[in-house]
Amino acid sequence: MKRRWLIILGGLLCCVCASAAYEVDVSLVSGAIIKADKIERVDDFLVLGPSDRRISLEVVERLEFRFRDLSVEMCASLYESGRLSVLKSRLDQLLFPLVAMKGISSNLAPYWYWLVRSEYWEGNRSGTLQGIEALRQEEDTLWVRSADMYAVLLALDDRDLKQAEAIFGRIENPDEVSVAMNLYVRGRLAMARGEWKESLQHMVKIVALHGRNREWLAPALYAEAELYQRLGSNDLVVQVVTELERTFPESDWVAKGRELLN
Amino acid sequence: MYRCLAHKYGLLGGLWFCLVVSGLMTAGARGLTVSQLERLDPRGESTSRLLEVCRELLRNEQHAEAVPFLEEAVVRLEDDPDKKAQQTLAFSMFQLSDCWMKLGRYDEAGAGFRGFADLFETDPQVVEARLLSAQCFSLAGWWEEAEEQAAWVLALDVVGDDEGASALRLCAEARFEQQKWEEAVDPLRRLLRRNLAEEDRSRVSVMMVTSLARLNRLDELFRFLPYCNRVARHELGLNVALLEAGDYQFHKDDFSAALLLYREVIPREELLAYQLKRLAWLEGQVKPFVAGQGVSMELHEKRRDEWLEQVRVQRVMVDKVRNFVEYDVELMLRVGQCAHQMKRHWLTFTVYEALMERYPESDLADQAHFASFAVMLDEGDWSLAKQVGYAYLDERSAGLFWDDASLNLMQLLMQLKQDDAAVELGDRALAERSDHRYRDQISFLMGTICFSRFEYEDALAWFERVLGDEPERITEERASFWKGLSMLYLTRFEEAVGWFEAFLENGAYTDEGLREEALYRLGMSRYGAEDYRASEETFLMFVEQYPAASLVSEAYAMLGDLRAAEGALDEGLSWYEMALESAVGVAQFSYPFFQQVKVLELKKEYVAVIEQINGYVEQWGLSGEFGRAVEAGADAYVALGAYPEALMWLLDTLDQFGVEEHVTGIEVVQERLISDYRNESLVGYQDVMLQWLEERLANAEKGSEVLVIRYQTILASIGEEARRDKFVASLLNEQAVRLAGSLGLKVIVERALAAEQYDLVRLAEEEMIRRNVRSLAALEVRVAGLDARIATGLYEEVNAISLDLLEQYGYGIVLTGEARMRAGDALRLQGRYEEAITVYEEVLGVREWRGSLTPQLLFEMGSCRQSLGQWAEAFACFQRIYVLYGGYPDWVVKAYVESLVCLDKLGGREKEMVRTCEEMLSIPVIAAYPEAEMARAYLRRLGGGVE
Repeated sequence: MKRRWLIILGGLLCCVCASAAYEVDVSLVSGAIIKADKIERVDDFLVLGPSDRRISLEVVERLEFRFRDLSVEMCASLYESGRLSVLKSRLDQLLFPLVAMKGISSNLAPYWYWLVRSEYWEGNRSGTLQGIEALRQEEDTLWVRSADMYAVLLALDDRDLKQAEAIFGRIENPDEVSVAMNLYVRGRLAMARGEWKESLQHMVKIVALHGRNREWLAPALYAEAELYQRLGSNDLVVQVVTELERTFPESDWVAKGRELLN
Repeated sequence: MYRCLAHKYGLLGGLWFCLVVSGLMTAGARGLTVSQLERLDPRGESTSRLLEVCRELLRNEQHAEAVPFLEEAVVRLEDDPDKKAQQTLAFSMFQLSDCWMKLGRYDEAGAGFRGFADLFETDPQVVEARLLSAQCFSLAGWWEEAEEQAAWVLALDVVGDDEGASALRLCAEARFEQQKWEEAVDPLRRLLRRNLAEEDRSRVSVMMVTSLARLNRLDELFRFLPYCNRVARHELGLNVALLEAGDYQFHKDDFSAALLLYREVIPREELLAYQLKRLAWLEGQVKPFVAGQGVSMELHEKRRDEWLEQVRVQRVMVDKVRNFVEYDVELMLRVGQCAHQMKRHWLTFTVYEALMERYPESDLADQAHFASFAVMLDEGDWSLAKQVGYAYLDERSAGLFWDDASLNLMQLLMQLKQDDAAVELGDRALAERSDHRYRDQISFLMGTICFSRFEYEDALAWFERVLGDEPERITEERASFWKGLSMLYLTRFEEAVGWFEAFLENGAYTDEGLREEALYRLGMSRYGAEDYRASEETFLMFVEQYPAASLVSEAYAMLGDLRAAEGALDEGLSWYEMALESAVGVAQFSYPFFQQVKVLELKKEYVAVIEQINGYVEQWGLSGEFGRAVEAGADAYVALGAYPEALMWLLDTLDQFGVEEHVTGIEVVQERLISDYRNESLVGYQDVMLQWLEERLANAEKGSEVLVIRYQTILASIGEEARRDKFVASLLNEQAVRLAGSLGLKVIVERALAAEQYDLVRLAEEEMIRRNVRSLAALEVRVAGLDARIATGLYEEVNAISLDLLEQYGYGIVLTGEARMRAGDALRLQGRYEEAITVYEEVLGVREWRGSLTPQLLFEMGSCRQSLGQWAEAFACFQRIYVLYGGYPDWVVKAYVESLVCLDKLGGREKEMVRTCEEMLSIPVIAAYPEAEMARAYLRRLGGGVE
């Protein structure tokens, strides 16, 4: 009985939190802006809270969300400090109720992008794919290309080199997405082709020139260690794994790196 | 600071208000004029008047003027035990400290607040006084005192949240400023747990990072860094702390830690960009007042002032970064150096390349460029090392490391056996830098290259140049030795003797390896100078002085030669025996061994020779001088008049060593058997040979396919044509190609070409390439491959392959000339006559290729000229053949015929044609050729002379 009450209370709290999780400015084609604290899509209409006003999508120009507990800067901060699961769960809570907004011009793309990144590195394939699909609906090709870059990595994780090469081949100017990511993707593609030395050259570029980019430094260091192992330089494997341990003491990369030493 | 003080000041407000009000009531006036003040003497006034004046002055914020009155009040009251007097004293002391503080006399203020707090421990303002004291001390830079006061507050059991935060901040800052890194960490950590304003968090983060860096607590540091906000991360101080921590680790040779720290440092350029961007943003916040925005003018101005203050502070920050010493390039170089020390060569290379790209004008770019060359040498990526090395020399003619780069690159080229390029570079280095720092070493290397090319005169000249150019002692010693060696190889024995004697007498030359070899070479030089006695003495001295030397076996062998040459054959044999005992490796063993065999042959002890040879073959097999041993063994049997035994021995040897696939050297047995078959003096044994060979073949068929092919190769080369064809047929298949040795493949391609089985020729060629064999037979197969291409119209490939063969085998072999000629043929057959002529001329220009190839080349060149309608030039080619190469009748007859064609085409040259026909027919060998009929027909037509 007590438990049931707790569940009901929790549910109510969630509802309260969810309803107050964001504010949204709905810009209309006419230039008017309607403020709302809840938005739903019903067929070709948006239903805005709290008044449940219905607006045809035809007259909506753009949605501008402001989340109460999260900003793009906070996403970056959480990511940088390695609190991926916190970031992921916050984004999950905020974005998945808004999946229906896909295709409507909005400021959600950077949040989807952070979701893709955190889902990918947390090893959640389906979440990553969902984020990728959301980004692929964006008009700005930069977001689409960003999503495709992660799609390449997913294909490589699936050992589907052909698919990875096909997706990568479609991405124009991948450096515009991220120079470090482009290097990493190229390095992984070379690795999948068994071109160890070429792969190493890409990976060390990240280590040398993008050493403060924490997203790509850790996997690049791990790849560097793995490549040294393949090239038979075991002393260097130890050295790079030690570097991983010091730079990312609480990350999964350390455990992965240590496996190379066994 | 002042804001903070103003805030704190509120607590005293109540008491102060009462005093001020009461003051107003008693004084009945506002403020004191200058003249009034001048008339007042603090020491002369009554206490009540003194206090009244104090109140008046404080009320009017005349702090400076209030100080002497408050000081006097304190002096008068400090010894008065009355409770009221003590209260007034407390108030006066506090106000006096406050005045000092407001006047910027922080040291006095700090001491004053401290005095207050010490004296009135139970006063409610004591915590505040301690904090104000700490603040004033910190403003005065009296960190120890500031720490003491803040620590006093922190030690209290109960303290307000704001006061606690202030105490922590003051304590941390004071400890930080005193470089008490260890003690600073705790208050900093406690502060960071609080909900600090963004700016405060930045300042605290900077102190935290610096403290951890100084304490070498790198693990904590790296754990903390990601939690720094962007403002803190872009603080100059924080980055300088990281940089200095990196430098500290670098100088401690902990390159791994240094690399990690350097990696976290944000370059100054990036810091400046960030600070400028932040300044622009802050400036953007300073907006003019706009009515109707829901903000009062007063509030707007307050906010604007706050923004303006932030802009001012930010400008200071920008200037600080801008004026800070440029460290970006140095930082990159240090990162590269760390990576290099850690042997992460590709990482190093990447960093240096980036440095050069980003800072091409920097002096350090020069260093980085050279270092990137050095790192590729360490990596062993010769190709890239070469590329970078040449780029350095080409792009940095004034580079500081040009001399080092040129010497290192030259050594690399020599290591890669690219002596031509090394010589070219050596010449360039000496030409471009007359004061080359390593000109002695460059010249020395040039000398050794010449020596290795047998160009001893040039080598000698280089070594003399080294010695005449004030070389380093080590180079001088080496050059001196090599000069003697060059003289020896130039057969200038007398000079060599003198030089080596001088070398050995030079006490400054201490390289024992060189001294050892110099003594041996002295013996050789004396031998060459025919001073045999002295030579023998030298070798005896050598074996005595250096019994374990690597050349001792050779010295024994020389002693053997000297004794044997004197006719003391047995003595010679005993020295050879010692040489064999001390020989290391087959090369050193073989010389005295075959000398020993020679002496035994002289003594006609053929049985002993056979015994020795059998032992040698058993011991060294194909890795020794197998061919020479086979020849010597067979010759010994022949000398004993026992050819059947020789034949049996040869066949046994073939059976023993011919089973393995793709071994080299065994062909010598096959070739000996073929040549014995063709040897007129052994004609009587031909039938026996064929019979025994076929028997061995039959035996081999039971076991080894490889051996079968070897026997079939021999049988396909000897005997009657019909009999041979049977064996040829069994060789023309893919399996035989796979198993045949070099000689077998050579026979296969000859026969396959004749039978127009070009696929098989190509297969044999591929097999030879796969085996990576470099022998004459292999080259013959490769040339046959070119013939097969020409026959099948694959002209385009011929030129590149022939050039490749030339690079592999060099100019010393006629077959490479033939390969180049095939390139000309391929062009000719495509109708590219001009190009074909160029190639033919190239072949004609090589001295080593002159001979049988020349008439063919001239003929083909003539043919090309004919095709181009250049009849006179064509005639000149053909004429050269019969004038200069009469020894090649096949070509001579063809040349005569084509000459006649040319003369005919030229017209009006009938007399010359008649003379040519007569000349041709006057040579009996030529007249016998069917083509002579054509000359006769011409003569008949022209009505010329009679045969």
